[in-house]
Amino acid sequence: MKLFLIKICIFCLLFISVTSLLIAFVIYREKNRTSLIIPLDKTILLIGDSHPACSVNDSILKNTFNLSKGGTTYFETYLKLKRVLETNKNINTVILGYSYGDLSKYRDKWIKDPAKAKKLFTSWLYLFDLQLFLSYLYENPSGTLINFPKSIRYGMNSMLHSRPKENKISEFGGYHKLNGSKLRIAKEKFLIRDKSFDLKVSEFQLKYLIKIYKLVLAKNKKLILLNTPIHPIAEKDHAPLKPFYFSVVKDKLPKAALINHSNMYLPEEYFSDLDHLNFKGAKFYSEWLLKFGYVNLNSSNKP
Amino acid sequence: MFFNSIEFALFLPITFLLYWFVFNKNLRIQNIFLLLASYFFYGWWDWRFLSLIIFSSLTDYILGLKMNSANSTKNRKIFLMISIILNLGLLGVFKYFNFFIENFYKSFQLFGMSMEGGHLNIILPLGISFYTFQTLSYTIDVYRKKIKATEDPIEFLAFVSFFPQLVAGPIERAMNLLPQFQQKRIFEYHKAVDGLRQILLGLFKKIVIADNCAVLVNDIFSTYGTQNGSTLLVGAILFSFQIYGDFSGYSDIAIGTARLFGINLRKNFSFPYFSRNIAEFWRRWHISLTSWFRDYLYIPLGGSKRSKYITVRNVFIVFIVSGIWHGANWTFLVWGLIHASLFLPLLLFKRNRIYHKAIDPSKRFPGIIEAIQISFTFLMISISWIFFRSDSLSSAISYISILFSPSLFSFPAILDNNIFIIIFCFMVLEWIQRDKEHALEFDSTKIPKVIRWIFYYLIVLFIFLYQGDQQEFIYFQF
Repeated sequence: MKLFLIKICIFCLLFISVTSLLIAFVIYREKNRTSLIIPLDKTILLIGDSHPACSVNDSILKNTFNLSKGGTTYFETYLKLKRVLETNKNINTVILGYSYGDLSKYRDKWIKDPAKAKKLFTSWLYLFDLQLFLSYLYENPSGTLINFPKSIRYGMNSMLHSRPKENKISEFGGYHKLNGSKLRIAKEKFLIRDKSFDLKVSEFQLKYLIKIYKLVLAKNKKLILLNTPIHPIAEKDHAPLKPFYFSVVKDKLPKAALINHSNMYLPEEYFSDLDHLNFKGAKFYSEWLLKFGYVNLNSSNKP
Repeated sequence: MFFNSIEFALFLPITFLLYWFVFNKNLRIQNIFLLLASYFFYGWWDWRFLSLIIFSSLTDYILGLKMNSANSTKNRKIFLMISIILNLGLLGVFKYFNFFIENFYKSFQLFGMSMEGGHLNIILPLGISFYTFQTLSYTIDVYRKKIKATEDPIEFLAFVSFFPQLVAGPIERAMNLLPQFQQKRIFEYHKAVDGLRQILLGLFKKIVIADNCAVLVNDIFSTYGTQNGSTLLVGAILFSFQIYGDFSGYSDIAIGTARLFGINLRKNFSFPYFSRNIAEFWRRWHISLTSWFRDYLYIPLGGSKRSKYITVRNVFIVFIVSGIWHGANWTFLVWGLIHASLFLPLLLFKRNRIYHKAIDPSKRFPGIIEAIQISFTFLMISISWIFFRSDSLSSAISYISILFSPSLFSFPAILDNNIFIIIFCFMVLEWIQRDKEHALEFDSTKIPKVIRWIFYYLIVLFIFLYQGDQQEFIYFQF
């Protein structure tokens, strides 16, 4: 029995050691193979989830690069931002999507989503360092254990097929054009939904929001928090979240500027649903930003 | 709890260490511990169904004792009939009630009448087809006086619920397994090492082969109407490997796990895709079920010892029952009928027993005739699997009709080549090892340790890297 257990331990140790070396090599190679270059004329980086992704058409705002993506948590934003700021010195301002629900406990579902874990590991493994890996493992152990090997397989495949170096910035996000409107359906769903609002805070989201804040300041960049326009129904509905939302900016992110456009009046036809602008709304909002800049609403520039 | 889950990866080492280091004082403690571990394993899926397995086991335990003490054959027969009715009754209610009731109502529609009625809203208890057959074999063997009924309830309950083979077999015979619960198990190094190898092999078959095939198979079968014939042929072939990897993989893990606990289970698969005809295939595929049907259904019905008519009837009965055992659907019944039709000519022309052993292991390659026989048999089996995999008879027939259309001679629309390379390498390994108990049984005197360990490392690495999306074991639904 003793011999049996010793041999199992030796095998496991050997397996872990050899595989760790293999993993380190694959990550190193993948990191060197991938570039994340933003055009030099872009000095403002817009990053976050579906709210900024659908609201800001960066083909209108010439100096802004929209790198937002739907369903993105602050953890993923931190991963992206860390690498992008390292390689793109032309960025002097980071605009981070910060909507009322971003710190809600509900966002934890995104972190634990298996499909998300798969995407995270198969495409973005080279962005992780050990600390980030352990942090994610703690939050989503099964997603990590199941999907981490797939990332190595992907990396090995790319090694075997000797794929050339490529700019993967477009994989990270961009302006998401929403056609048409589902506003009527969204309103109907809103009426029949469970009214109880989850006021619990996602500690993981908050932790990485603060990490983003510290990262941007450490790189001597300006950080702006942007709350994009939402439908008046959603704006009113999010009222219980507002005290905490503002207190976080005041207490934890004192050097960040908050631009709150959630209450910007826009016609119904500009909304895709209660939380997102469609392409008409995005065009209008982007042109408004082009005209007035990233500033808060006041009487002079209210549309 | 799946064998390929994180839960089982924790459960197995903990149970193993507790079994050999803590609950190892005497036979009774070993059995009690195994029983509790097995119930924990089963209850992890749904604890409510534990009552069913306990009820089924205790009933057969008591009926076994009654048969032992009965002083007349008539009384023994009554107890046996109670056991058969109870066991098959449970199986009938949980597995077949809705199927029969739906078809009963549908039969009225043929005469223009409409009838609606009761429909049970129940889920199929995991492994019910397996443990029902296992307990049935016990009572039948006690009735036939092949074994003596056990008096120790713990021993019997542990035998029925032994976790490695509880939910998907191999279907054990009391004659083989029960005596192993009657003597204290002692740790044997070589047995445990071989058990680990077999677990490794099973995980490879399941995680690398079956789960990766499943992705392509699901895609092809769900869109078969838009695919060309050659792609559908590839789909059928891939399903052959999926079901083999899935089910034989499960059996390998079960046998290997049992060996870690000092218990030998029966071999369930013996390189079936190298069979030269259907009769040989059925001696190599799901051996524990095939032999169950042979011993408890085919031979009692008269086997092939009576007239040709009786023989034909018996073959059809066995294959139809075997098909229906797999699931309450007409597709399984047709699958059984196809195999009966392929098997019958061999039986009638006395060609069913010509291939008993594997092809001469000293041969590096099969002969031309053997290669043709193996390929033809495999093709027949693959086509029959289409019925097994399809949701309905109509979709199976549509699938086959598209498969045999002129588009069969076009290029298949399958892009993922890796799985084909893996399957090819795996089949080469199986071919080389075809006279062994399993494909990873190595002679330590012939192959140096370093080579063996590199090979094991590569297998673990492949499992680690090539894991597909976790899929439930196909045979769990049976």
